[in-house]
Amino acid sequence: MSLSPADFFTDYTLRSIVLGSALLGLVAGTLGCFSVLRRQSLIGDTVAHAALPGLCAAFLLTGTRDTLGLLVGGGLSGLLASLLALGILRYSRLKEDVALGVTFSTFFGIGIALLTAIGQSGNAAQAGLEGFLFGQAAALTAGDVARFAVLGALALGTVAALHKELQLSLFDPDYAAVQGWPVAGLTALSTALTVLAVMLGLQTVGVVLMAAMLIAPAVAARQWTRSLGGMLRLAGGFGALSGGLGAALSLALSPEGGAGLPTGAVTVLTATALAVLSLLLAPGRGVIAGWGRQRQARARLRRELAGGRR
Amino acid sequence: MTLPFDLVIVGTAVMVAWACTLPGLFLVLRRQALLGDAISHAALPGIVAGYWLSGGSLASLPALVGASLSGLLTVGLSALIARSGRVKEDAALGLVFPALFAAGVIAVSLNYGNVHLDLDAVLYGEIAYTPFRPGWLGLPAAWVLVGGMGLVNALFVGGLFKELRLSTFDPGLARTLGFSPRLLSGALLTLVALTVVAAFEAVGAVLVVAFLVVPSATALLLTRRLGTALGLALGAGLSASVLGYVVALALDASITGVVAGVLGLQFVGALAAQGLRARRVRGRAAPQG
Repeated sequence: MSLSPADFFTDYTLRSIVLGSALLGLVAGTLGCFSVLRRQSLIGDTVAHAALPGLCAAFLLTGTRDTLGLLVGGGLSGLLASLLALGILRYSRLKEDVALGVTFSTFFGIGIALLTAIGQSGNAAQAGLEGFLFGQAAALTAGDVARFAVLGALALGTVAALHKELQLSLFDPDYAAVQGWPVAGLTALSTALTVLAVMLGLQTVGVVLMAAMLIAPAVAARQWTRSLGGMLRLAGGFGALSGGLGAALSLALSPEGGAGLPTGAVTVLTATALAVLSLLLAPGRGVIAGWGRQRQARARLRRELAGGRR
Repeated sequence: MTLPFDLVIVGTAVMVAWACTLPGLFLVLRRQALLGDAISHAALPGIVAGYWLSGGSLASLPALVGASLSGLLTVGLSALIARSGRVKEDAALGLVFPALFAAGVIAVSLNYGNVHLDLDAVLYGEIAYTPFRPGWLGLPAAWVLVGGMGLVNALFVGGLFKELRLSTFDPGLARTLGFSPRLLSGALLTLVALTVVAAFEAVGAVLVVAFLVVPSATALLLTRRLGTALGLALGAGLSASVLGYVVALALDASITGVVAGVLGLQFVGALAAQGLRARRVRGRAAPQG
């Protein structure tokens, strides 16, 4: 496809895809900061996989492939899995990765069992239920964009309103508890918001790639700032940028008449590129800046040693 | 000689369980429990490359080698990023494997847009088909591949148990004493990558990820001794395989799914037992009045 930049503002389909992906990146990038800082980066992956039994159960209950019903079912089982993981963390000495790994593989296993049960039921509508987990950004409509905007505003508004409380319970849960704040409730709340972001993204970029949309913008943002507020804003910006840019690139680069580049994959590679560039180039925390400092320190030490001998 | 189907399937499940648990216990202790999941996704570009090189056969040696290489790439890249000290291990892993998977997805869509490269067949290798795939000396292919990997893992963990224990719990001391914790962890992660690829070709990624994490997590809830934990974890894998198979047959459901579910139930049981014990101990320790 040969596209001029103006097409993205005038063409209905293109505008929906780019806007939808950018909104998704904004929400996921912002919320991802909490899970990355809590060492639960892979919670997106866990929730996305744990949605499978809920998707199947919703399908079994409703008997149709109605998107909203499936998303609600998937969201509920994703939420249940992430709350169970938080419970395991709280009531045992197992670490974050183990808690996530245990819930994720159990839920996914149960989902697979349900999926085969559905497959044997001979219901024609079940075809493509698995494909649901791989995402299709090209199918985004203006209605989806409006839904993203409403739910995203709800999630980001909650983060903005509870910024102080979330920050303290993230960095110093003991002090927050002593102050009388419901730390467990706040943690559960920020996890629930993450589940919401994942469910928005499932449909668009798919299970595996959704994990990246939570992590990469947060990793990139962390390089440029030392404050949580700054990190949240930057990560949101990076997420929106990689969503919008990735979608636009995938549309613009698709070969003429070909199957087209998958939007989710290009978006994730864009986000990863931003993260890698930030890791290397950021002043202060960047790898290259670190090398420079090391060299200076070595030279200073050598000078001082030489001076001391004299 | 043909072995009975039941024996082949349950035997495969137990072999996968044991081959995964041996290195899995150390992964769980090193906060790398999700590595199996990461590798199973990151293997995609390697599989595509192998598929391309072999001219279009999926379950082939090139695809297997390609998958192993991308598994090793995942391990190496995420270790490199984590070692820079700017990103934690979990986030480093989460940065690497989706990027590799995305590269694989793009490669598939560019080159095989019109061919249906059945990803499900790779990610959900089906344990129920193992009896129909002959391997070597009349043994099923899965037994040869996974059993061989399990044997290598057993030799590694058995031979270097002391060293692994030291470098897992106190890498600083291990380095001071002249062991190389980095080399040892590199070897461990390499074995994990190879085991994951060998096993998911036989039984699918879901069961592999479950066996890498859940039996060890269950065992670590029940004991604080590493040797005991290893024994308990191997036992948990055995019982989940047998029980899961029986239940799956009774329910006519996916063996993989039910075995993973039974593993989860065992974990919940261990969690409850641990909780009860903790409460009893606390009750005894509480001051009177």
